[in-house]
Amino acid sequence: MAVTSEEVRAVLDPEEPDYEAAAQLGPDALPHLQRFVEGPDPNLASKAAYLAGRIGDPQAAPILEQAATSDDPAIRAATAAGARHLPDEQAEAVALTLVDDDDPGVRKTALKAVPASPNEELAAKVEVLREHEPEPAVREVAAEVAERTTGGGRTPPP
Amino acid sequence: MPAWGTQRNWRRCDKCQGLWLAGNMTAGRCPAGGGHVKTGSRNYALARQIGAGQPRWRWCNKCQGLGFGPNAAQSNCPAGGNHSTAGSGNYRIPIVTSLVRVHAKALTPPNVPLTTVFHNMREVYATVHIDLQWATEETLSLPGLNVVDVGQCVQGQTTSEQNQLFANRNFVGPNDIAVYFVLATNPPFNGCAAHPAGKASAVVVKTATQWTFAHENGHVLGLAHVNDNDRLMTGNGTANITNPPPDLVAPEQTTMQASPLTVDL
Repeated sequence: MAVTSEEVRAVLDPEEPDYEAAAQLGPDALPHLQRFVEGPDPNLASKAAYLAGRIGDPQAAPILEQAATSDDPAIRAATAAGARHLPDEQAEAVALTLVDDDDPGVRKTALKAVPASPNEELAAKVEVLREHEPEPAVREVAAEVAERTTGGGRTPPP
Repeated sequence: MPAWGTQRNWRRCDKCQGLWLAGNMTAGRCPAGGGHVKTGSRNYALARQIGAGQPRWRWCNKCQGLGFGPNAAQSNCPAGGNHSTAGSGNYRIPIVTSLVRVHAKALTPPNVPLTTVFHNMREVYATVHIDLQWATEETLSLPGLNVVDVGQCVQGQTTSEQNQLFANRNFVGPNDIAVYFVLATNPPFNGCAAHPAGKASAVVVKTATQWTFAHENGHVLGLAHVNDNDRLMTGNGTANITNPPPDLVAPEQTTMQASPLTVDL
């Protein structure tokens, strides 16, 4: 059954959306989420970017890749959080964009989206953060990610 | 800090049943004869300058009573002549009988100014006779917690990042609430009121609405979501509040008054 824009908006409007339930809207919600990501409301755009990832469908990847280039660090952070729920290769692409973001909160959240077997380029970025990240809380997450990932097991996509 | 607040020590006179200011070393003049008597009265605090209720109520410097300022010229003061309102503040009715103390700790300033969110919360809470004290304001430099992981945002279940954030409690008393203004939460919420026992706290994000702050403090005081967009605790998003200011209802007042964070004045 088709999902309406109003239905998608209704699950995102609460102060604390139930994303687990919202994800049940499935891929039919993605066109509406893309419009919200492109829209003028940064609060709605953040929630939409996250939910797109949370739905976990490969078709969500372009929405998150677009949101990852937002000027608003809150939207980029939400994108990084949503990427964690994408298939590994797509999560990797978003994480590659955001692990060296200017904002430490975005970097920290992107690190949490790094899949278990990151490609060499992403593994190298994690290693740089583990060694040189100026913000201790982010450096700590980088160390945890480096510990749990195999690192360098795959080559970057062409 | 805000230029508003409450003034305590207003009492009901047991003889004339009027409200009078008992903090001026005089019992004033009671219409029933002699001075006012505060026996049996609660200690009422009147909101000044802003907040819910009717403004322009004034203290009379002769009888110590409270009268409606615009009608002072037609009044009869028990001390003789008209009420004299020189030196009085601008008081608002209704009366608040209890108080919640909230501290603001900003990692990122919210888009809706702190003065607005405190004013809005005060306006709504005054309708259930609870005053809000803006206890302190502090800027925190914690870049690593500016996007804070709040997990599922379930009361009693907090993440290590929430615990780290809520450990920053300068000036916060054991019955006070600390609200942390952050860039964003992970996952993205407008706010989250989940906090560890004994550290009453909430987070509010930069893009939250003008009512999110009051809504999250409502959760801290024990309130749950409702399916009614006329009410503060709507679970449909405070951006959809249809008839501002939003309502608190009697059972919610009971819950809030029962919270140890709501202190009788």
